[in-house]
Amino acid sequence: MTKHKLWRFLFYFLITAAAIVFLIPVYLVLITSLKDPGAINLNSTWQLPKVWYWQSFAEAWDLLAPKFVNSLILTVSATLLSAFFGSMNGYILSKWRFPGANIIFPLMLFGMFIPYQSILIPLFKFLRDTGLYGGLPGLILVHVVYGLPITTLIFRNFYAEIPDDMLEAAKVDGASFFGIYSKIIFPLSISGFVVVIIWQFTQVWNEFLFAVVLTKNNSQPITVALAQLAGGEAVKWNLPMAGAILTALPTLLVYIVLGRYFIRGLLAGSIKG
Amino acid sequence: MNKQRKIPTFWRFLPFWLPAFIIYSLFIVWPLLNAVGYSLFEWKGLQRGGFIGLDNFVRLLTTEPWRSNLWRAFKHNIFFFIGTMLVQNTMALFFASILHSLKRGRQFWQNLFFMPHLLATVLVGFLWNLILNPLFGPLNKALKMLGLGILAQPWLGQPLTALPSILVVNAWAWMGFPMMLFLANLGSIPASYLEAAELDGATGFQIFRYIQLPLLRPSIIIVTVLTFIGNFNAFELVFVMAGSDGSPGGATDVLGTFFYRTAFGTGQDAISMGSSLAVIMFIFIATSSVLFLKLASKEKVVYD
Repeated sequence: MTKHKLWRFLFYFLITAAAIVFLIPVYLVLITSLKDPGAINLNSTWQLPKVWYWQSFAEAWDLLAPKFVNSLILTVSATLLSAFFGSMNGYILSKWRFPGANIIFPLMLFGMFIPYQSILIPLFKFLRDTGLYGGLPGLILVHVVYGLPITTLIFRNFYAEIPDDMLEAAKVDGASFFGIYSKIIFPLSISGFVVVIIWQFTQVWNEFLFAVVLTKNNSQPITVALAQLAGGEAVKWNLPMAGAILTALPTLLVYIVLGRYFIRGLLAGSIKG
Repeated sequence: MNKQRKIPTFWRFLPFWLPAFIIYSLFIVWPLLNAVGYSLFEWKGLQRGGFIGLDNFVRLLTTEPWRSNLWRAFKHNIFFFIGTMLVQNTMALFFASILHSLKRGRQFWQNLFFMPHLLATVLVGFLWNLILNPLFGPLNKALKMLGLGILAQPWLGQPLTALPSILVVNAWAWMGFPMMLFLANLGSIPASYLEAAELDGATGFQIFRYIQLPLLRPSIIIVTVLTFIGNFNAFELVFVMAGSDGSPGGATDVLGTFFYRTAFGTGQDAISMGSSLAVIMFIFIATSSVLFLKLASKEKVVYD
């Protein structure tokens, strides 16, 4: 029993140490964003600000607000669309085994193995030729398409767990394709949606390569603007730090609201392959 | 209902998958085929020249400086993959098994370790650039405060430590996700297995090694494949922390930055060489992932 207690102590010690390593950068961001730019220097890096200086947040917000809105439009539409289409695909592929399904599913998964770089030049040209280059709709479309393989995979595995008898019974009762989807499949897949939404929201919100190559100035998402804000050598730390916090808020919020269902959803779907 | 029955199943479902299929083909398959096409031609800026077969590939693989740049970047990617498996994923498994054994407060620790995963890579890179800065970075300052000043380094400024530093930062940012997958997998192992082993007098380590670890196979496979794909795609963090030129002295150059420099640089042959490199990267990642999945899925785990 004492040995058991010793282990337990060791475990808590280890995760506490790790937690400190995980929290230190966050602590530094928070305190630096709240310091007067004149008061930022090496000797007081670790100290709390003497005067709480909220001005940086207002300044960062003024600079980033339009890009923040771009990111919000981009992320919400791309997340919802790819989640919805992914769940429809998963439903068809797992419950309506039609001829050709065995070809289409691997072909969709194939998309997960494509390095973004491989298709970047042709994609850029294609978007330019179709007039979609530079704006948000083009980037939304790209994120929806590149999100589909993973969302389809998660939903397909998720729906494989739903007994076929349940759907057969509904079919006998005369429920249509969409009837079954909206009355049975959709309500049962809420935790699948949680996993997909958390995954897609963080992916799309944080994505940089597509964003920097495929959008022009006014439609740039916040990651591109933040990279520019943080890029200069002479920048005062307080401003990018405040911008960093503003940028992180939406993903944190999504996780705070939906996070408790995340493990449950992962358990139900994505780890079976 | 009756009317529907008469239509063959193939045609009946066409409307449901065809639109997705067309869009998917336009945005994924078509660009990929195009990349292959571009790589077979000579390019001068945006002007396409004549068909030259595999000449671009030959040039990339056999002439300098292409050849040594490609190999250097490739080796760095391999290093990054192995390092990430050892550092990030081992840590993830370790913390997942600790958290799984906790009776209280698991949610709190879980959220804490997952948090960096929610931050944009651009932001993570910028943040750690400041922390690692040799002149005014808090890491070196902290080391000096602890009397370990001798360990203070220009972390990103010297070839020996630059890539390992980025690797550790990447592990910091990503560990939460594999940890979550392992946690979910651990949760799916029936408690009766562990109780039976405990009754037989197995130690905590034996339970982990002989019962949990073999049953973690599904998540280990997924994590390995995701790590592999992610690392050979690695670009953002390296770009933010070390720029696209692989500084210092090419020590951080990976395939992603090498490609970015080639394809979006000022060279007249940007499109031909960029596309050839893209095709090589694709073939390598796709074949290795498929091979690995084939090998890994030969035996399946059955719980009952």
